[in-house]
Amino acid sequence: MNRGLCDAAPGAPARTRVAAVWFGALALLTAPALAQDQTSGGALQDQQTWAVCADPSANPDGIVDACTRILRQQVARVRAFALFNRALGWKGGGDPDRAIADFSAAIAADPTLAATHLERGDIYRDKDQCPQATADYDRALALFPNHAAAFVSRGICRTRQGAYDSAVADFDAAIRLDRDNAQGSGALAWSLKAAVHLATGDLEQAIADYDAAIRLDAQNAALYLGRARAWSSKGNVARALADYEQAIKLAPQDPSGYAKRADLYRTVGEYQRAIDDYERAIARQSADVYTYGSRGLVRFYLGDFVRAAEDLVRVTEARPDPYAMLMLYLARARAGNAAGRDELMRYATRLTTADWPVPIVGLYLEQEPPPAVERAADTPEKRCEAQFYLGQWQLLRGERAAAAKALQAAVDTCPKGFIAFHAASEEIKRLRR
Amino acid sequence: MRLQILKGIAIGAAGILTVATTASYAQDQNQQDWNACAGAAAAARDRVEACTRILGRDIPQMQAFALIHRGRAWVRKGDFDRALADFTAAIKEDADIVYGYADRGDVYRLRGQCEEAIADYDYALRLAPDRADIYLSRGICQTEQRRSDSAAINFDMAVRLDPSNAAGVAALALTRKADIAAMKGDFARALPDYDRAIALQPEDLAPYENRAIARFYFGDYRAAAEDLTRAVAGPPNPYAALWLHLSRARSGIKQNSAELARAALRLGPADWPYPIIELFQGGRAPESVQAAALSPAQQCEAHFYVGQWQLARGARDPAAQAFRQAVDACSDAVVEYRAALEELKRLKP
Repeated sequence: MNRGLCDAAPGAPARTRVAAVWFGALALLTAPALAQDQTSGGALQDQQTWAVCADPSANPDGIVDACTRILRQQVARVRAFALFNRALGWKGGGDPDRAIADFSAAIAADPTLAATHLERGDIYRDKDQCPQATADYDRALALFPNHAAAFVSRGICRTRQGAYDSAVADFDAAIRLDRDNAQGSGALAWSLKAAVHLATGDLEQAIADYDAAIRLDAQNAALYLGRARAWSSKGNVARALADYEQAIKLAPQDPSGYAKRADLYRTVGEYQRAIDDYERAIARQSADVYTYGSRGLVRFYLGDFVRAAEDLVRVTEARPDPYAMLMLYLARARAGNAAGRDELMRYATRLTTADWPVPIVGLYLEQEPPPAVERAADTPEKRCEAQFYLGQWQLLRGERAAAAKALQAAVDTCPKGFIAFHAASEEIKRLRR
Repeated sequence: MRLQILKGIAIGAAGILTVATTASYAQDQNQQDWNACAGAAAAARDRVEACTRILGRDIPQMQAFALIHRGRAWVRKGDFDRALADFTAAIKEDADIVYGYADRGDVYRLRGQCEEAIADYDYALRLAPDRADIYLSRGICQTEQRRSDSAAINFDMAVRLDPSNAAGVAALALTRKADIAAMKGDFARALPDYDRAIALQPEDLAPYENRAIARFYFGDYRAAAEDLTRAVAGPPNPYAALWLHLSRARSGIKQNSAELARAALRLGPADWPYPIIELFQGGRAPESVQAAALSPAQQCEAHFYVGQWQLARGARDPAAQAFRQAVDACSDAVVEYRAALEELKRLKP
């Protein structure tokens, strides 16, 4: 009978708290971000495991098993979940490096979540690290072979790497997996496939792809913008304008529809319409310096050199773009601003290449003679551009006859959409007046 | 025999109550963080902060809870080493987890390491000063360490925190406190606490048996017999049956020989205290009972019950001699020690 005084058994644990906090939390593991993984089926199982671990009346061997499973697997998965979501927070807050660190930690805690690989891959892709991104997409697809979004993402990287055939294969896989665009991947894949065909010059196919994308997602302005570009490349201005019209109707506050339609107007010589659209884009807070730069070109065409320079300087301040530097120099010089030469020299120090049209920068800085520029122009496009920039150079030196000759050569040899073509054409008109 | 503690301590009930009141704010906060971390937060920074809180707080807590539950399962399986390892690991994950300290303290207590147990109880009570069950456990250990004054204060505190026995603590604490007084021979002080304990938890049989012994030495044999009649109605209990037999003999109530037989049901002839029961049934001589007692504890009991047997026969001198032998042989933590002292007091001319 000698029951000791120390015979009190530890009592029941705080079951209610476990139920309220963890069951609620575990339910979140089925949140949309992770729902495509196979984890959603696991949430219920997790709850059952907790129910056993936290049940003081259960068989002790069963409790030990359940609690051990929680400690070995569930804790890791919940940690991965929190890290995954924090990484999305870092990503949203514009800190991709911390996001990668947390995605990597999440993968270390639980390597079985396809979504984590996919998200980390997208950040690598955004950082132009396509090999790392592709490795993540491969793993995501190994874990979840029907992941349409992973095929899309991998296809984007393959497109960037110039692997067009395998990119198209990825887009086709995404299209197959999301035929009715329920996951938002089908239409995207069609449009990305169209972009590949656009890049390879297969305009017919590009337009057909955009048609398919628009059938799946008719309210998506970006698809009309893409198709407009294809029509425009194909020379069908009317259909391109119709698509821009539609895109602007669908997204009237988006500056890009106006900016792109302005580019089309600019290349077909509708300068006032182009300027009006650039201004609408700028009024809608276009973040693209080229909206200003393009308006600057049109102003240059029209002889409004002072205001052209105001626009072009926004590009040169943002990017080491040699064409923008050249056009800014010319605009300054034509407006009678002698400081343009020093400005060009300053910008030239930022150039990252000596390729075309940098030899023209050398000409304008009087470091290269005209024959050196002509020698550097080793394709018809470069030769036509060389004639334009040479003509401008001669014009600045007061050599009107030579200038007119060179500019006429540019008009005669440049493709109609070229800046040199438009600028030379308008210059000749002015010379004739 | 020691005073009865039948059911152990229902820590669980107290635990749930305490957590339910202190954790409701924390629960809301946790749920908000989980939602924010999962994408409900409007600002990316809030999302990052919510996830960081989960990583720093909820996940360690989750691990700590799983470790506590597993530790308790190890305790039930009798694997105290693994239980200690799990409770210690739980404390490492979440330094503020009251259960980690309270449960580890219980394991130490079960292993007889009351010093370590009390250190854990001290810390647990610093974190959760309203946990009646931990005061009770600390009091039990202090009783074990013969620090009966401190123990009584802890039992009082446990009663104050669980006044209606909602957590199942007050009745046990009152019984323990009464036991301390009874073992000192202060039956007048013990009896009201036993009464309160029984009023709070009438279905627990242990306090009836303990109160019966106090009533017996308070001189109220009839009331003692009433308590013991209840005690023997439960599972076979040879000591309750023996004391019932003694109480009836003293109060002149007719004996029921079936009760002794029933109490011995589960005992084989070689099992202790079978020889004592045989003595009162008339089937064994006192010398033979003493010969059958092997351990010091059994020898103590043999002397005491032989003394009672002699007394019932009116043999006062052999009885006094047996009680003196009991006082010498018994640990002062067992009932027979106190009872033998009381009998000797009464036998003084």
